[in-house]
Formats: sequence, C-alpha cells, structure tokens
Amino acid sequence: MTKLWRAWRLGALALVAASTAVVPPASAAGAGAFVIRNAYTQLSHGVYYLDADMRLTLARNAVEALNNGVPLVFKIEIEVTRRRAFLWDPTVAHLAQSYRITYHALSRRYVVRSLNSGRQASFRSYEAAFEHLGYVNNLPVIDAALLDPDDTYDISIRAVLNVKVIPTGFGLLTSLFSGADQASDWREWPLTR
Amino acid sequence: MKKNRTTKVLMILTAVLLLAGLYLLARTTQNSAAFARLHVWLLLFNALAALVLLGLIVAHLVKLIIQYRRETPGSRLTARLVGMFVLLAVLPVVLVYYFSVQFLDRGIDSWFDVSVEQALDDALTLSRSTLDARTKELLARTQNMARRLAVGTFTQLPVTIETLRQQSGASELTLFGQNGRILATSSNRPTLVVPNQPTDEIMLQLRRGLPYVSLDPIGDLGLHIRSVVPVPSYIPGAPQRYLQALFPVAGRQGHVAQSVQAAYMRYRELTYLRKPLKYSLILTLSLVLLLGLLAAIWGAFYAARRLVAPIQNLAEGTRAVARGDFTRRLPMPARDEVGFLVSSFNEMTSRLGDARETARRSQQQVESERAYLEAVLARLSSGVIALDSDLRLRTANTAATDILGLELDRWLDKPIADAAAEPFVAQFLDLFKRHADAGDRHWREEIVIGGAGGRRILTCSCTSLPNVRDNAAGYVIVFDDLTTLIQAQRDAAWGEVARRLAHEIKNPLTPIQLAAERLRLRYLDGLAGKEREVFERATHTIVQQVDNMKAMVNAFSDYARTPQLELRPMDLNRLVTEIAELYHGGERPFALRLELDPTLPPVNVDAGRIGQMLHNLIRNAGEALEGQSGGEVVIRTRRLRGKVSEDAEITVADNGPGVDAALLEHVFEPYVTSKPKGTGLGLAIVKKLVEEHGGTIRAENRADGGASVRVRLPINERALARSLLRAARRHKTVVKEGVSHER
Repeated sequence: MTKLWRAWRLGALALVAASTAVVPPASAAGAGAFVIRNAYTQLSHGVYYLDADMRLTLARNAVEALNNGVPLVFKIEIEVTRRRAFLWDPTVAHLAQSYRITYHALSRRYVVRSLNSGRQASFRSYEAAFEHLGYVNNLPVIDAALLDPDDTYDISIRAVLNVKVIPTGFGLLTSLFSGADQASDWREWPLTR
Repeated sequence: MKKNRTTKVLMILTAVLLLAGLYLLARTTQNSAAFARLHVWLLLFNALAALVLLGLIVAHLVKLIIQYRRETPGSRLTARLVGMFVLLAVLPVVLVYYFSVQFLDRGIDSWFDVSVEQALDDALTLSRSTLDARTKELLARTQNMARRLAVGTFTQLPVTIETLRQQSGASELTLFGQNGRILATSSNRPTLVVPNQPTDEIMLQLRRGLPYVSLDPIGDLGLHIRSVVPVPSYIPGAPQRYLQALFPVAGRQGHVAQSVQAAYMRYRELTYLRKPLKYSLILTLSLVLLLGLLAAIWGAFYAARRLVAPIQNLAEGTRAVARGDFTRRLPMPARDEVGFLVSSFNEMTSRLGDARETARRSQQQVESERAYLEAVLARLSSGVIALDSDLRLRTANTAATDILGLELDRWLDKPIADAAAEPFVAQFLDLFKRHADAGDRHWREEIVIGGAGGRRILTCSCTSLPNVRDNAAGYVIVFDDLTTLIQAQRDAAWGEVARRLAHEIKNPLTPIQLAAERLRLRYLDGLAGKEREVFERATHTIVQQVDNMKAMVNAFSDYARTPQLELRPMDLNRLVTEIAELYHGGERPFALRLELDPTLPPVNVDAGRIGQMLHNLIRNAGEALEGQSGGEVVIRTRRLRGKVSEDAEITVADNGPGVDAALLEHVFEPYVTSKPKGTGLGLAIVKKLVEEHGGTIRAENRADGGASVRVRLPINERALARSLLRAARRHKTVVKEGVSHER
C-alpha cells in the first residue's frame, strides 16, 4: 500500500506539473543529498540489530521550509525481504523510524521528536540535529526466530524526508510545490547470521 | 431503443460521478482532514474525467466537421447551436475564472500584512528579552547550587539535590558524571524514571568548561530553561561532574511565550507556503472550471444534436419523399411543436403512399387493358386504325400495316392528311369528307386501290368514337382486304371447274378417239379420191383435237390436284442453275441469264414443285418472246431481310411486249392468257405452287419493257409460320364464304 501510495504521489506530481501551465516548476532542490555511508546488521541474543551511518545533507528548500516553521518528517525505512527465484521478493518485515523536526523560534533551537518513542531532543543547528539522526545504533530489526533458516533474506534501508503535511486540504499539494522532499537510495545487503 | 436507454443511464452515471468528484475536491480544499488524503485520487479522477470529456468533445467535433463538409442535413444548424451554446458557456466561465484567480491572489496576499509580521517579530523579540533576563538569573542560580554541591559529601547528595531543587524552583535537578552517568537526580514528577539528559552538543560545550543555558522545549512538559554547569571540584584529579537544572517557564509568562511562539511559527509557515497554497487553489479552481466547461461543451453538443435530430430526420424524410420513397416514417420526438410537425409529416407520407399505390394500381389496370386491347388488335385479321378528332393517327394494328403496305408507325401522332399521297389515304379522306358533310357517324364503303402489284379491293368502315362534351373524340376505321378473298373464291371456283372438267370431259374423249381411229381403220381403205382425202382429214382432226382436249384436261387435272408437299432445305440458287441448264443449247428464241444472290440461305421447299414452277415461268416468258429477236429471260434471286421475317425472292423477267394492263390483275387466274396457244393454266398452277409453300407471287410490267414475275418464299420458321397462318386464315375465310354462298 505504501509503495502504491508513493507511486501515485509521483504520478500526481507528474500530472500536476504537466497539466498546469500557470504553476512554475518546483524550485531547484539545492545541494541536498542523503547518502547511506555504512550499514550493517548483527545478530545478538536472537535479534538482528542494525547499525548505520548516514550523511544527511539537507536541500536548500528543506532548510528554508524548516526555518519557516514547516515541520519536516524524517523517516528511516527498513525492509526485510525473502529472496525468491522467479517471483518478486515478499516483504517479511517493514520497519520505520520516524522523527519530526521543527524549528522553535523562541529558543532558536531545532527540536527532534521521535514519533515512535515520543522522546525529544533539541539542537542548536539543523546540521547538528541531522547529524544526530544520521547515526543508527543498535536498532532491533527482527527476531531471528521469525525467519526460516533455509531461506535467504535481504535487508534494505533508506532515509526519507518529507515536508510535514499541514492539517489543511492543501498539505499534499503544498508539499509537491515546495519541492522539499528528499530520499536516499535503497541500500540492500544480505541478512547474515 | 435499448441502446438509447443504456446511453442515458451512462450519461446520468457519468454526470453523478463528475459531480461527486467535484464535490469531494471542493471538500478537500476546506479544512477537512478526512478528505486530505483523497486529494490526489480526486485530482486524478477529475483529470481523467476531463480527458474523457475532451475525447468525447473531439469525437463530436470531428463528426460535426465531417458532416458539415458533406453538407449533411442538420449539420449547419448543429454547428450554429453548438457555437452559440459554447459561447454562452465559455464567456461566463472565463469571467468567473479571471475574477476568481484575481480574488485568490489578492485575497491570500492580503492575509500577510507587514504590520502583522512586524508585530509578531516584536512580540517574539520581547519574549526572548524577557526570557533572556530570567535565563541569566537561573544560570546564576544553577551555578550557586553547583558550588553548594561541590562541598557536600556523596552520601548527602540525594538529600542535597532534593533540597536544592525545591529551593531553586527547578522542576528537575540532575547531577551527571563525566561520562554522562547520572549520579543523582530530583524531579517534581514522582513517576519519572529517567531524567532528561543533555545532548552530546551540550556535553561538548561543558567539556570546554563553558556553562550552558538555553530555552528548551521539552516534550509535553512545555517550555523550560535548561541550565547545565560544571560542578567545581576542590580535590585535584577528581572526576568532573555537571549539574543540570530544568526550570519551567510557567504561569502567565510561559503561556504568553508559548502563544507568541505558536503564532509566529504559524505565520511564518503560512508566509512560506503562500505560493504553493495559491497554486493549489488555482489548480483546483482551474480543474473544476475546466471540468464544468468541458461538461458544458459536451452538453452543448448533446443538446444541439437532440434539438436538431427531429429536424434532420424531417430533412432526410423530405428528401426521401422527393425521391419518391413514401414508406419513410420518422421517429416521434417529444410532444411539442416539432413532434406535431413530425406527426403531420408521417401522416402526409402515409397518404401520399396510399395515393401513389392507388394510382399505380389504376395505371397497372389501364396498362393491362391496353395490352389486352393491343393483343386483340394485333390478332385481328382486319386492319384497325384510330384517328383523333383532328384526324391524327393515334394507333394502327399490325394487320393495317400489312394490308396497306404502309409504315404506319411513321405517321403516328401526325395528321393522316400528311399521307395523302398514298392511294388508300387519298380515297379514305374523300369518303370521310363526303360522309362528314352528310352527317354520317357510321359508314361502310369499298375502296379499290390500283398499283404495280395489281388492283386491290378493301372494305372500309368508319365509326365515330363516343363523344366527350359533344365533340367527337375520334374515329375508328376498320378495313379488310377482300382481294385475296375474291381471288380465293375464284381459285376455288376454277378448282371445281377443273375437277369437273377432268371428270366429265376426260371420260368420253377416249371412246371418241377410239371411234375415230376405228372409222379410219375400217373405211379409209375403202374410199378414194376426194372422199378419201376428206375422210382422212376429218378423222385426223378428230383424233388430234381429242389429243389436245386430253392435254387440256390433264392440265386442269394438275391444277385441281393437291398432293402432299415434301419440304426439305434446298439451295435455291442451285435449283435455279439446274433448271436453267435444261434451257441452254438447242434452238431457243431467247437467251437465259442468271443473277443469283450468293448470300441466299437454304429454303424449305419441295424441289419438284419449285422446279415445275420455274419451268412454267421460263416457258411462259419464252412464249412471250416468240417471234422476237434479242429476247432475254433473266432469273434473279435475292435475299430480303424484313423486321420480323426473311424471304427469298425469285424474279423471272423478260424483255418482251409485257402484259396488257387490263389483264395484269387476272393473269394468275385459270384460263386467262394473251397467247394464241396454251391452256391458260400455266401461271394459275405457278401461283398455286407458290401459295402451297406459303409464298406470294406478283406479276408486273417492267418500266423498261417486258414483264416480270416475283415469287417470294419465306426463309425462316417465323416467316413461314406467318405465311402459312395467313394462308390458313384465307382458306378458312374462303371456306366460310363458300358455306355461306351454298346456303
């Protein structure tokens, strides 16, 4: 459902861009880039743990949106898939760690709140905030007992940044027009014991 | 009908879906989170609907252009209606669109006032200033607490921390070790398990020996002032410790600060999203109006076609009527004025169809009667001619053409007076005038026509047709050729004479001859001198005259005899050549010349009879040339192609003195001859032979001197049949005449 939703969003973006001559194209994304520098898993006490090191450079549009009070949602998506010979690989587990990043103008601090745990931290700069988010340390992914030892599994990870949908009907469109969304490539590797 | 119903259902369904899509799209533009996620689906659906509508419109447009170029009935009216509807729809839509966009643009811009922005900035600055003073104070308080902790013992730490927290008004007070390990903590929240920890960034600053103090929004707890300071150590080498105090920004100050923060950020957010918001609204508005416009144009096509369809049907129906198709019935539209028109049209075509059917039946009946009449007239042996009141020839049957020997078809619809050069017409006009002057409406006269073929006798009866408004509608003239009848009567009489002659005269001739011979045999030798001479001459004369009488009686017998014909296809040219061979050589008083037509096909004849006919004709011509030098007999064959029949003609012509004109019409009658010798049966037998073959014979004097006899024999079956029929008819007439005569 999520992938379908993403595909439709991309389709909508293309449709909107093609069908509206009055709307200028989305502004350049700046020099932003999400790169997964290093990622690996380790099995400990029957659980797979993920460690990752990501370089998260925000695009100019995203920084601008953040500084103007638009919340950003940073998401680390993790998928475990079972390898198959001729058919598509089914997803065994899907995990997402979501964070909401906002700018607090009064304190001039960037607040990072985990949407999974509710924990919150604030940073003096957005670089510091995203450097903090770029380190994944010992994140439990899946219980080894849930995996068939005779099968081969792959794990993949990527980082996604979306402009937070504001609670109006135009959230989606505004996010499309702002051009602040970013995502890294999927990084995939076999899940080894 | 079913297709129309399906189309209507589909159209209603599409319209409902379209309206639902537009309604939902409108809902998403309001603050309805429930529809927010559907926005893209709705956009896609509406865009798809717009594409479908556009496709439908293009299809309609292409169809209309094709119909317009082909000048299909109703296409021009449809185009005009569509143009009008589209103009009526587009103008308001464009106006509404223009003013809506202007309104959106200016309306959204008007939200963002410079003074409001400045006020918010000022409020934020004021809040910061206020909090900055408090921050400094709380830092100093924290540093003071740190110094107090520095002199305390480790065991007293929990109590000290708790005391210090309560005294300082902090909500949470925590002592950390060098590595961030919690040494002691105190919080006003009894359920707190893990105290709020400083971030790496704060720890880094502290390691540099710098205190940290800052406003910090902490989760659900609200705005706090986080103050973290190093705890001084009086023992050399002792691990560094840090004291973190969290002071809530509570009360009125905290509430106002939060409110200013929220308003400021909301305003900044809206300012930042102003353009995308504008674009979103304009896009939604554009899509809604585009859909509305396309639907209106499509509706214009639909409405125009609905309106024009009955008129188009009427136009096609009128064309069909013009082509003569009265079976076309138009479908009934709604019960309005057009419906009334269509109903009237259907009624009109129905009546026209009935009238035409009646006329067709009447015409068919007239044609049938006319054909019947023509058939009757064609089979009449009498000639029938109809004239109108102006004596124009209206109709003439085949028998009339045959009897008069005139191409009457040439004179159809022309005054009969134009043919006054013809003997029959001239005499008829004289008679007609005479009877018209006398006021006769019915009259009967005998007309005698002379000509190269001999004299012909016709009976002519004329009757005025029934009057129309006291004027004679015309005349019917019926005439019969009595020549053949009279001739046949003569032939029959002569046949009877010949038969009786043969029977009554031939029998006593032989005893007379035998008696004369016996007289000679017994008494001739007993006589002498003058008596002997007289006796011999007298008996000789008796015997010779009896011989002559026998020959004459035999000739009559031949004339009366009617043996069975043996018809076989014969080459007439060869037959003529063979007969002519017999006359070559020897001492003949005439020369014989042949002019034969090589295209002459075989003719069904009895060779013996035709040979006899030729012998008779040559002998007859030769006798005419007796005593004349340079006499020549020419035998000519010719193929005659008529409209329906084909004849072979044999002409035997001589250059003798010709036949007396008075004798010419009786030349084929028995016992008519201009020669001192002969029985007078030669040509009568020839005529009989020709008629047995279904042919005709004519004798005429040649313009350059001499006489010629023309014999026509039918070549093909139809001609033969026609000739035999004619002969049979003649025979029947003769028989009837004979019967009536005997009565």
